[in-house]
Formats: sequence, C-alpha cells, structure tokens
Amino acid sequence: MRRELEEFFPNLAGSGYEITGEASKEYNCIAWVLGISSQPWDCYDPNGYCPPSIPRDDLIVTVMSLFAREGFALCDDDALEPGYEKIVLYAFVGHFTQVARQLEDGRWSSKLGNLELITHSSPANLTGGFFGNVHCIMRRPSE
Amino acid sequence: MQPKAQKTEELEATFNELAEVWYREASYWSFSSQRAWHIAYMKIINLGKPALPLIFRELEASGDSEWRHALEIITGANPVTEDMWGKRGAARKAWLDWAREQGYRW
Repeated sequence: MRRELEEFFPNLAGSGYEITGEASKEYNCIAWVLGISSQPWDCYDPNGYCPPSIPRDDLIVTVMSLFAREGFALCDDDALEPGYEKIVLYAFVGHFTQVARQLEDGRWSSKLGNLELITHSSPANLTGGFFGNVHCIMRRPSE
Repeated sequence: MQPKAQKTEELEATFNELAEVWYREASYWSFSSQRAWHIAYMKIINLGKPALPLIFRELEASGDSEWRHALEIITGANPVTEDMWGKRGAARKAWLDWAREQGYRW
C-alpha cells in the first residue's frame, strides 16, 4: 500500500507519514473533516449525502461555499493557531480534489477517497500528484 | 470469425482487467463523478452493450453505485429517481431491478 501511495503522491515518500485508518467507502475526505464517519459527502453519489441547495458538481468554488456554510472562512497560512481549526483544500484545474484537516499537534489528517486515512506533516505532502495543488486554507473557531 | 464463447471470454477478461485498474487507481478520488473520469472507466463504457451483464454482476457484488454512470451512458435509461437519492442501496436496487425486467442475466 505504501509503495502505491508514494507512486501516486511522490511528496509523501520520506516525509514520515503514517497510515492511521483502514480503507473505507463509508466516508470520504469531506465527511472526515466535518466529523462524519457513516456517509460520504458526495453530490453525485445516490448513496452519499448532499446538503440541500448545493450544486451537484465538484468545482472548487462549490466546495468552498459548502465549508463556508459550516463556519469556515479563508485565512492566510497553514500555521497552527490556537483556538482555530484549519483545513486545506486542494484543486486541479478548478475542480476540488481533496481536503485535509489540521490536528492539534500541527500535522494534517487526510482521508484518501475510498482508501486509507493518513497523517502527514505538511499540506505539500499531497501536492504534485493526483490532487493537484493547494487551492486555499480555511479556518473556523474551535469548538 | 471468432466463436461466440471465445469472444465472451475475451470481453470478460478485458472488463476484469479494466475494472481492476479502475478500482486501484480511481479510489483516491473523493467524488464518484471524479472516479468516472478515469480512462479505464471510459474504456469500460466503450465496451458497450455486450458488457452490460458484466457491469450488472459487478454492481451486484460490489454495491458501488458509481457503475450507474456507465449504465446510463450505455443504455440511455435512468431508473434512479430523485426520491432515491440519499437512500443507501436504493440506486443499486433500482438498476438491478431494471436489468432483470429487461431480461438481462449475469
């Protein structure tokens, strides 16, 4: 699994990432960030959850508006900031690809599609491959 | 001209190979619509109507409702109604019921 992961995400190799959860179709990266582990957030999947009035597309602006509805606002950097929960959104040519959330120790947690959950040291670890580049960082006050 | 049984075996082998590549490589994507962009998925669609029983078999075994994209394109039908959205397993059941009504066997 690690070899395949590093093939698809070359910046993970040698970064000290950890696989922290088993592969699962029960939830995806958006569900993980929002604390849901029983249903993927997917407006194209009849089995998935799609909030009312959210367009059935995967444009990065659609996903940004979804997170704005959940209390997140754009911020400047990915530095650990006490009192705030931060997320990083990735995009490839205008299409959302992935979201990761920052852990209390400053590392990042990412659910990879239908596959494993990983913890990685930096948002840059998932760039340069399938997920394109970091599009923006958002934050909301911690609960 | 190839015997029919040989053609069926070749089709099944091609389908299995493409499906394996698709599962392996497209599972990184978060949305089912993104997974349907994968080249192996497109090649499965290009197999056309002869591949339908194989897709129904895979849909039944895996439960992956994203096979519906290929089914919609190949058949031109869409038995998944708006009220089924958000109900786990409803789309899979609708497609398998439709397939049986149309006389498909797998």
